[in-house]
Amino acid sequence: MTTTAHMPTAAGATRTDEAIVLSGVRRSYTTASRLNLLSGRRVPTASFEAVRGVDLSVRRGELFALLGTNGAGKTSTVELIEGLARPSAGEIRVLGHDPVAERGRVRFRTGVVLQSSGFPSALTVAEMARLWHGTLTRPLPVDAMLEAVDLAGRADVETNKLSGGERRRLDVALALMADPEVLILDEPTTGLDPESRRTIWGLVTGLVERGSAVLLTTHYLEEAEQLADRIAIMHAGVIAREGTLAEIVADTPSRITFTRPEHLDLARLETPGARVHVTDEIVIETPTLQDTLARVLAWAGDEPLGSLNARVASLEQVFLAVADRPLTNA
Amino acid sequence: MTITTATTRPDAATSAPAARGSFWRRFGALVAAESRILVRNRTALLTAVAMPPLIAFAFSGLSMDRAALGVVLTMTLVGSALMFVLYFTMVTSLVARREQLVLKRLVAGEPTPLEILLAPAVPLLVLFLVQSGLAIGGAVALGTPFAHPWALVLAVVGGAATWTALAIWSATWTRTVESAQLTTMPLILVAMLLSGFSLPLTILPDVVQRFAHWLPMTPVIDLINLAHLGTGTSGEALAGGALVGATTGMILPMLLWTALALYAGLRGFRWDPRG
Repeated sequence: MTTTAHMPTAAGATRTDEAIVLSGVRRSYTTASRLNLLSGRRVPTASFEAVRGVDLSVRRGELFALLGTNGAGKTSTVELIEGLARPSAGEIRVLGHDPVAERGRVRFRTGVVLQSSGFPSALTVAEMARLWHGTLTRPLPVDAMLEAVDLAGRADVETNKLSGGERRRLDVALALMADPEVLILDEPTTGLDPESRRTIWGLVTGLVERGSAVLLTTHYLEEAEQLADRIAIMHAGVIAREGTLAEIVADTPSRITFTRPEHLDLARLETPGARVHVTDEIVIETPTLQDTLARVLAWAGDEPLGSLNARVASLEQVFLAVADRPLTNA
Repeated sequence: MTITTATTRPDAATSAPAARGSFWRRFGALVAAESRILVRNRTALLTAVAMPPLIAFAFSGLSMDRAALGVVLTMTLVGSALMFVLYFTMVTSLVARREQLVLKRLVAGEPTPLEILLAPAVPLLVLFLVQSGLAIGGAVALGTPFAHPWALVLAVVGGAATWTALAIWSATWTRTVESAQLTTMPLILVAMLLSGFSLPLTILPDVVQRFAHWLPMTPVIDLINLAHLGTGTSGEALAGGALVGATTGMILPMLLWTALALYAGLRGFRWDPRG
């Protein structure tokens, strides 16, 4: 267990800005076990560590995106924050409380969108929403929530007859119904049509603007780029990169690309500090985009450069670089 | 698209309520949903409503005088309602909810594990009580004696607690709704054969008899016998201190089974079908 650098000295302070704090968090799964019939428990005989020492914090009024390849440990981490399991090591604080031991003090202030919806098949949308409404301490009205996710017209449809997008919108409506101070969304937009996605984005950013902390896992990098205040890229159970979008891409060079011009002499193109790759396409990787671009344009003069494109490093570049890294045993 | 209600929250840290909402509101919502789901599940409902009367009818075909028939009616109806209405249906309900990931959703929300696990029992308990009431009404109509009516209350309440807890426990090692028919079989068979439900325990060797009285169904049958005939486990008439002692001996196994099954069930319960 590591000591937390994030927590203020005043013990149990909920005054802190940080709504979610993880320090040195690990999670092991049992991969082989035998069943003890008396206790109904499985006694582990082999295990696998999915989360290998994660530190992160999410502040109020902030949207934090947790990215990662399949099997990187995103859901395993998120389930610990949701209080669905205890970490095998490390410490988790949600609104200043342990989400498992003090679940009664945390749950009514949090909203969760699990990867799986979990609707009983016999209930209609409205019945499911009313059930959920009944379990909440300070619920927002059912009708307003269904309206907000464009499901008011589908209120009497059984949940098992909903489309994937409609199920997801209902999921989000139920999570937001708690008017949560902390909202955790595990891949809320996977497989959704653009319109459903926009609806969900709008609701989530609205919640952030009102001061809630949002933790989001996603496969869609552009979703993280557009929504997140801060981003972490998880790989093999650890956080490989963390920061604002600008911070994350800062170490990765910008790119200028164009098709190879016939009438220009490449030897006369001077781009100090940049790396130039020449095929049918010219790719220039540079830490100083503006300077290099100015030199390229001066070099080209009046000659048109086909498919000219200049951009700072993308999250995708960083993500792929992280994902390609070999797994290291922590 | 925005939600029009509560568009501002001045300071999340200070506006937070000090405590969460009431147990009754949460539990009531869960029970209402479970009742609705049960009523819409024709198979489960038919099993729960028709099975115990059928079994009672089958057993009461034996030739006996009317008064003895009333005892058989109470035993078979209360006993089979415990097994098939409460125990079996509740195991399948819990497992079905787990397979549909409903339990995972609920346990990630505000309801506590015990609230989630007990909610499906409530509509089944109502059915069980109705059927027990019918059994007792039938016994009254048949002119069956009621030596100690309070023992019936103990049988019904104790039996309900025991078999609800056993259902939670059984659900911990039942993976699918289909396999529930197998996983519930051992307890149901033992209950039918070794409780005095289908054949009198007195025909069994003494050591088996003594063991049988510690099983989860036997005390229910013993208490029903006591309620009607005023006799103890070996058919002796009871009064005074012996009555108190014998009753305690019947309640104790039910308490132990309830505590054990609830403890093991809560500890070992899997909320996620993949977990």
